[in-house]
Amino acid sequence: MIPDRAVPFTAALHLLALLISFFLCARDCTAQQARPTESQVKAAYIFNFGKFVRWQAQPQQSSDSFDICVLGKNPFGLALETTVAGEKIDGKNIGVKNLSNVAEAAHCKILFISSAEENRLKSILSTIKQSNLLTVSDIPGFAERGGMIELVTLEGRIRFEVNVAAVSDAGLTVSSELLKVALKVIGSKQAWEIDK
Amino acid sequence: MLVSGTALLLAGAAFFAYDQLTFRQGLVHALSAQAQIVGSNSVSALLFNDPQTAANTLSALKSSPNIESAAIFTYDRRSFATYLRDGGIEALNLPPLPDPQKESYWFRSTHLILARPIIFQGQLLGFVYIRSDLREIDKRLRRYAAIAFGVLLLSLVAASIVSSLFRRSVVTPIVSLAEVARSVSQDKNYAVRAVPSGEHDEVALLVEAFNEMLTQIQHRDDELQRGHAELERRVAERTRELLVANRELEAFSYSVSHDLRGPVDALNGFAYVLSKEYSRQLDDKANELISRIRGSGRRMMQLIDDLLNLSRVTSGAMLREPVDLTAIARAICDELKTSSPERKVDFVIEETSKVEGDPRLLYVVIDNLLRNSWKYTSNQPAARIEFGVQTRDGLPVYFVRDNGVGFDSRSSNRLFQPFQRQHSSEEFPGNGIGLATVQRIVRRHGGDVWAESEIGKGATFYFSLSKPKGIPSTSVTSPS
Repeated sequence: MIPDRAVPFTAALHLLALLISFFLCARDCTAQQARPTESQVKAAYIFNFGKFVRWQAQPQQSSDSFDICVLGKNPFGLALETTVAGEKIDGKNIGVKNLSNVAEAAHCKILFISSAEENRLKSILSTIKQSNLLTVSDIPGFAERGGMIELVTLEGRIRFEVNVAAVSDAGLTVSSELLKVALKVIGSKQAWEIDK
Repeated sequence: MLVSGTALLLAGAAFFAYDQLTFRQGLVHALSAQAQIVGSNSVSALLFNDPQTAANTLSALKSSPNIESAAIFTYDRRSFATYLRDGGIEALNLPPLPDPQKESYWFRSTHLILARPIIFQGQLLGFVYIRSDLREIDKRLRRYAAIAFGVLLLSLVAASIVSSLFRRSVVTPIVSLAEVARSVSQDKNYAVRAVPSGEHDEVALLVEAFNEMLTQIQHRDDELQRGHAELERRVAERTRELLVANRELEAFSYSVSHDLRGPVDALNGFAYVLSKEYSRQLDDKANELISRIRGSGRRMMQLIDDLLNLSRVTSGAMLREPVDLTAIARAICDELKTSSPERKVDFVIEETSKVEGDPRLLYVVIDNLLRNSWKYTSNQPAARIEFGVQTRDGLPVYFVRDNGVGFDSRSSNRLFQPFQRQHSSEEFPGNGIGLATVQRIVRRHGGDVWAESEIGKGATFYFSLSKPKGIPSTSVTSPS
């Protein structure tokens, strides 16, 4: 990754950065890692959603990898790749894909729709209707507008809302364990909101 | 009672300890199950950082009234959610898990803490702690103690009742039976019987058998007594027969001797006449023959006289008068000295007090003994003959001692039998009747005669005139 010739220089830079961070850091730096960023938390959530959702077994789509796709501008940086590195869902290795077009989403299991695509949301959702994939986004009102899981920031914490109707329409099942911790669950016959 | 009480106590303690152990284990298992459930239900809460949901899950533990508090910690040991049964904010100082992969529990004096890792798909998400009080255990302990105590008490009471029943029906009859047995052995009274207890059990059988045995013993004893009496009767009869026979024999010997006397007397007389009147007309050889006839005749007469004396001793009635033995001894010694003045004999005669007896017979005794001593010291140049008295066991024992030729004490058992002589007629004249006579007389007086001697050193003849307590070991008595 880094050219050999530049090793001494970059090494020195890293060392400098390390020294500076030592002096600047408070107690928090003694933790095994620094406080996770918003991207890291969201990335972790998306990865974890995969553990609580069941996809229909579809023979034509039996690929070896479980793909998490990002549509539009990727807000996570490398966070998603870092989170899923070495992990598996359903025994499959996890792959992260960046898409520019929704049409490419056929093989995805989880599709994150970036907030940049807010204007095209309606067409996106109609395209992938009944596509047997989980849609996640942090676009405000995503769940109300037919998205499945909407990431919400509340009081400095990342929460989420689940639209169970949208989930079941796509042929997916979401575990009640997940619904338990959701901020809001909509779309069920008894739509209820947990007052937190 | 002490033994059974201790045994019951030990058994109770063992059961109690086991029960406590199993109950504690049960409590741990229950808590473990609850921790597992709570843990797995809190996975999503931990994953999605939702402490509220986790707290809700924990609050379900309210259904177990023994759980004081519970807490969920994140993997880096930060408190995530808490449940407190009695409300309030309590600082929970919980021990860290020694092994983050395994469940651990700590039994404290008032509570039990159980901790378990929450692992989801191979990833450690956090820890769940549950703390339970030990009220159940205490309650159980108390209840158990109460029951154990009650049972112990009841058992002891029952045991004492059974024991006293047992004592009454078994121990007491057996002890009384033993008493009867002992008294029978001690008093030799075989008419005693054990009293039956009135029951029909094994002990009663024992008593019955015992009584039967006693009856048998009694019969045997009676038979024994009868046999004994019969024997006594037979012995008495035989003795009577023997006495009669003896007396007849004595009478016979007396009459024979008496009848013999006449002709022998005549023989002696005629021989005397021959020697006196016709000695000059006969040659030496004839005179020698006559002298020998006279000698034999004299000896025969002596023998007849002695035999007659012997029979008289036992047949005649016995007098009982005070007799002075010393005077008798002196008289006999004088006579001896007069009859053979050439002999030099030293006589030592002790003073004795008078005794009860037949004077004629006692004369014969002392005469016989002194003459014997005189006879058997004839070869002794410095002859010494003693007569005296000793006291043995409080009774007077008289003796005649000489320093003559003595006799072999090994053949002394025949000493007092008639015609038994220790020495030949050539050495010392005599017919062997004397000592037999002495023995008879002395025994008629209720005493006995015995002798001690050593060849060459003389002899001592002892006699008593009343029942001696014990005869010395060197004494010799002929079979009576």
